[in-house]
Amino acid sequence: MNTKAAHKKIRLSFLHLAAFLFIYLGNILLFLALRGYFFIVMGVILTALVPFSFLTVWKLADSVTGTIFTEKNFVFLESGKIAVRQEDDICVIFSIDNPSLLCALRGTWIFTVGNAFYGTSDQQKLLLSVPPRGKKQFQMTVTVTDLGRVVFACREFILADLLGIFLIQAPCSMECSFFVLPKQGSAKESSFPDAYSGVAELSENHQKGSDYSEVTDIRAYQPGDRPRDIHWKLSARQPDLMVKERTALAGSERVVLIALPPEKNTAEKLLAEGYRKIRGLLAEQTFLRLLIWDNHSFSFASHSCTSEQELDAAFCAIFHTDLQAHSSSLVQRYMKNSYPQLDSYLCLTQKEDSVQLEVCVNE
Amino acid sequence: MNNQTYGNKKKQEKIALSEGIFLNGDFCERREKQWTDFFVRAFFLFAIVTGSLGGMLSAFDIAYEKIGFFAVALLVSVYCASLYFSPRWENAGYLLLFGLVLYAGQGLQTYISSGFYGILNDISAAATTFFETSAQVSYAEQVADHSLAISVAMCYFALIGCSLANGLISHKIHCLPILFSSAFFLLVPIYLEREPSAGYVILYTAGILAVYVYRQNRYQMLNPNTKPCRKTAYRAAKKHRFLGSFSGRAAAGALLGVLLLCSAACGIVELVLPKDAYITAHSKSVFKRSTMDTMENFYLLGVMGLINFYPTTGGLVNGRLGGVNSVRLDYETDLTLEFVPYTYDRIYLKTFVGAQYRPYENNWSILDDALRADAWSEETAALLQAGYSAGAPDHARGVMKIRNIAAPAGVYLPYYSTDTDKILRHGMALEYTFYPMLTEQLVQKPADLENDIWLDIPAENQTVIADFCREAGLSGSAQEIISQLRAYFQQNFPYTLSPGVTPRRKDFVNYFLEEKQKGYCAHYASAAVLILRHMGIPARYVEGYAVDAMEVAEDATLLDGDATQYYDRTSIRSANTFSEIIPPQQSVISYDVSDGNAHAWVEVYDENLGWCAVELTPFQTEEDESRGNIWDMFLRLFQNDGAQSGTKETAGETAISGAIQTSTFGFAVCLVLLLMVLPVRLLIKTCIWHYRYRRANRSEKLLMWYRRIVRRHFSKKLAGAKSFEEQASMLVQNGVLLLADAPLESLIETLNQAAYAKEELPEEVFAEALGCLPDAAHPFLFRKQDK
Repeated sequence: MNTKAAHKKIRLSFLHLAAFLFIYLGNILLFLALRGYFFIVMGVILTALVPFSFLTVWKLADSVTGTIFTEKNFVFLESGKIAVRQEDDICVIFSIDNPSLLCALRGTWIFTVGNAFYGTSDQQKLLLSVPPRGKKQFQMTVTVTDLGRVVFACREFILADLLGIFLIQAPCSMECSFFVLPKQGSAKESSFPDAYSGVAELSENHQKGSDYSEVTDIRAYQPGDRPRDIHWKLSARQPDLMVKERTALAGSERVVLIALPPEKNTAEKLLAEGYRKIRGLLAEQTFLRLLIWDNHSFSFASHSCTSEQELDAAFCAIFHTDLQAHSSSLVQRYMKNSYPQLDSYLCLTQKEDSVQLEVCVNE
Repeated sequence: MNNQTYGNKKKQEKIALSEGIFLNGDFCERREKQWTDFFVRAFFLFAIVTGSLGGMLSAFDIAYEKIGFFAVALLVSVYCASLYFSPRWENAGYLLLFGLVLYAGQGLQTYISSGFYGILNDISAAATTFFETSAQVSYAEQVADHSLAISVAMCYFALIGCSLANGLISHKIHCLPILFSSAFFLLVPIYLEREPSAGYVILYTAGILAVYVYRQNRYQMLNPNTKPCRKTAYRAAKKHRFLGSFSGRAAAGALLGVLLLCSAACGIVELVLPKDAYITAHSKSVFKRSTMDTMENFYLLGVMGLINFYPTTGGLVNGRLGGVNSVRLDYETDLTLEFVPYTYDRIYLKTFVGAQYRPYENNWSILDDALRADAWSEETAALLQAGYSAGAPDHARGVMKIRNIAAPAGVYLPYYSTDTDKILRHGMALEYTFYPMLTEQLVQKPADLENDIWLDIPAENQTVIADFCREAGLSGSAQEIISQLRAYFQQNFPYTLSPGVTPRRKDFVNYFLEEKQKGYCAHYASAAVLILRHMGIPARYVEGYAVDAMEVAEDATLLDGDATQYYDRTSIRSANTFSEIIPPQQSVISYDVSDGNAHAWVEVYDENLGWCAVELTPFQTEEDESRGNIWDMFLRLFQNDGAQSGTKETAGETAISGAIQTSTFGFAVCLVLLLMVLPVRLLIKTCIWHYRYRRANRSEKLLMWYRRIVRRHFSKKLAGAKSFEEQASMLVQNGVLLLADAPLESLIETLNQAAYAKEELPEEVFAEALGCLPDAAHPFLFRKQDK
């Protein structure tokens, strides 16, 4: 609260000031002309109204707090994340809480609304009164047509005094975000290309370099471990045999690389179409591992998907970072470098205005 | 916001918050609890109406049934406030209220009019005291119970007041109109130095300030039921702002705060500076002193009093001089006299006596109490009464019954009477007993005149008066001087009813004697008084009504009645000395006195007889009416010849000609005003349009231009109701737009973009769209290429 008090700013509305001065001077002129007792009373009231009005709103700015939240009906992810489908309606509620007895008729809540995934945002103003000792809520029904993460954030508000002359600008911290996932629709049946059958672990050959797993840990040998997992070089320096613990990249999972382009419209189309294709794969009881490049960590983010819920969670994770961080023209080279053991993988990409799920040879 | 969003009307209801994020449906919160808002609105109306109306009555100490008035005001306020919350029934509700106003007005007409007149009479009494005038405007009250009639009238006014106030503040809070219209009720008593009670002041100030506060905080914009809220939704969205919600509790809180502040301020002011102490201590302001004459004339004579500086329609002006440009007689009956004609001379009814002339203020001062008995010639009247009582010859006692039809309240005293305390108010009839002077010798010589005031000449007039007396060659006895003066006036100072206004900063008498040299009775009487005083003859200015015997003979109505009860004389010693009509040639007559009989004359003091009326106004002669200013000539167009020549027509003719004259004049004034108002209004609107156009961006400019064209060819309502597609197709059908399908679609697309997109139109798109619109054929508007 002290921080808020320290950062409060006062602005003047000259139009309202002029209107008040018009009334005030009019009263003075009438008093000089008519010498009425009534105008003395009126003058005292008008004079007292200015500090009264200012102090009211000055104190009120310290006590007002607010939150932005969405209506609970729209929370459907088990992870607690809020998500809606594309073009579904969602209720966003601005809630202002005022514990004091003071009130303001006009409060302007300056908030930004935008899609964090695409990096778009706009500033809007919401005019809300602040009632004495109570809450004031404003509900907005919002429809989002673009995928991504929608963020409503309010960082400052402006309270006007009763006369509208003084505008007290104060900081606040209100934020609410939710994810917008592609429409579910009917899952597209994906037919695997012939070449793709070769990447399944069941048909894994034992040729050198055809292991589609990656080493996640090194531990001491236990009976039953495969001899090919023994780390011979390390075991030579140790008294005990050490084995490489592997997490299978292939086998029951299939690797799908999402190669996002930097353009918004193309990316939007790829994600929407790709979502339906991937759902088609999941419908065939195929376990998937989604890979998407992340420029921030300079590595692939990996999301295991065995169900639609996990697919939604994976998309939410993708939307958590902005599009530019996911797109790179060298993503296939990074794939080769990061997963050299993979001979091939599925790649979700856009070619000639159509989204395709094709087998890419990792070279 | 992309254009595709607004491809049809349904989609137009969405507002883009950001790219790909749209706000659906309502822009305002519609689920706010409305009870608090309802009570707030009802309080607005109640506080303003009761504060202003009740405040005015409390200031004048007018008694009425307050509980009933408050109850009616509260009920009507609640009803009016409820109309706001049911848009479907709003119009029907107003219609019902209007019907109630008509029904109540018809059913309670007597009480309402009587109550209204009662209020006016009470205000008039206060105004009479304030202006220190002997004249009082009064109206006939038809209901005996003064308080009841006023209570009914107040309830009726509360009904009307709440309805009108609700119309002003329900949807658009018109703060200034409600302030100006309601403040009038308090300004009237304040001008007359009457202060409203503290309770009403608190109510009124709280109500007005609350309205002001809500207006300043965009109450009307935020409330979902208000029309401005709905109408400005798209405009608000376009400016990156959508509306929020108004809290009834916040409104109630603000109202409570204002109410407490007003109460506290009233209390503090009353403690520090008590009202009674202030009223007794303060003095009149310069403004009030300088406007009192005008306001007094307005009070006495209505709006015409403001047009003429000291206005008159030919009636009494109580010593106010010089403001009348042209006397317009209406010949409406002011008094009805019932008496026995007793003389062939002129009969005077005296109502005003001016003692001291105030140069440059151009008026005669009102008498103080010390001079009052002298002014009414009570001593002479008492001597004549004594003579009659003693049975001395050539003494008489007359009775004149006077009914006040439309004259100001006052004393209308025949010569000579002691009934100086009989004030004849509007609608009243009083009997004045008088003792006419039929002899040159009273039973006792009047006491010597002790007061020099009757010889007083202001220093500003002395030079002019002296020059005049020298030029006119006045000399000799009092009778000779009066005769010489009368003859001089007759020869050199023509009588006219259109003398023109005495210019400001000029003295009335000096201007009359030196420059204008024409006028009517007030001019001659005023100048003659000073001239006579200069010649050492005590004289004074008198106003009242004068009735000539010839007029009486022509227009009077004979009544059945015993003449002896109206007129009785003692034995005859010197018949016809005073042009007396000797009994039994007399009978009771009734005669209507109009403003044409209003007159000013001179009283001079005779050592043997006391104060005697002297006529110095010349008879009217042919005068050159071609002289005068344009305004005089214009006014003469509306004046009939009878008024000009001063001859009185018959009652029927004058009534008709007066009505025609009044209506013609009124029509001409209205026509001139109308002809002035329309171009001025058009000019102001055009200037505002240009100002806004200059400040607008390209999108707004295109829309302004387009809407102007649409409004020119269709009604305003249609322009607001139809979509761009429908409007454009109608413009094409009517040949206003000459565009093929493709450019038309492009134009519609551009208009949609201009109306709803956040970004300003690009220059080339703007130019292209503007090229599609026709030039507006308006003389005040610049052409397209100028923009």
